[in-house]
Amino acid sequence: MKAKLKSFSFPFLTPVLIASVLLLFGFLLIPIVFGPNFAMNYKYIFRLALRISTLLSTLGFIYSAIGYHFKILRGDELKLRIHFEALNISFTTSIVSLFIIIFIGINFWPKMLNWTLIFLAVIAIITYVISVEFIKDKYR
Amino acid sequence: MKNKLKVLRAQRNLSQEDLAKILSVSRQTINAIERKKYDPSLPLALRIAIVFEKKVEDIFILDQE
Repeated sequence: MKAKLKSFSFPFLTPVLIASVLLLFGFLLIPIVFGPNFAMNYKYIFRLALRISTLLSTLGFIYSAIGYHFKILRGDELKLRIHFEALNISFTTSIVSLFIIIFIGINFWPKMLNWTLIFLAVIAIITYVISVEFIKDKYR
Repeated sequence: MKNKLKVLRAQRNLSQEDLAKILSVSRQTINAIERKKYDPSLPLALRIAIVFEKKVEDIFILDQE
């Protein structure tokens, strides 16, 4: 299985990623495409369309994540090094943020704990993107 | 780690882009190695040695030596 994944070329990675981001916001796109009253008039179809769009979006994100991972592994070794160093920084920042979120949540703002995973995902993605730029500078 | 990559490349009239293509890496990797910002992996060091028909230790030298 791993050997098959390694040799698979993962075509259309960027279009799939863009489509996944768009499909994630189906609740915004559907009223634009079908009109503002669509959600009220066709509740069942609206909910079904939302489920399908978020499912496709999830599949797209999984495909993109695995695809980019193997693409980086197969590619240039300096880029792989930059990727690993950025992941390291991103992971450390996420762990530190998790402890801070738990501390604040338990002591001052318990409702915020419901959003922990979303906070962590956003923090991890932002730190990864920023640290890639800093690490690129280091090797320039 | 010091290296003689830039000198060897110049002796053979190869650009960073040419060498990168031969070694199947990016030009940025060659540039980072030449500027001593990045030490290549052992397989890449061996491939560089094969391209320049030299031993690895003739191209890459530890600073303490």
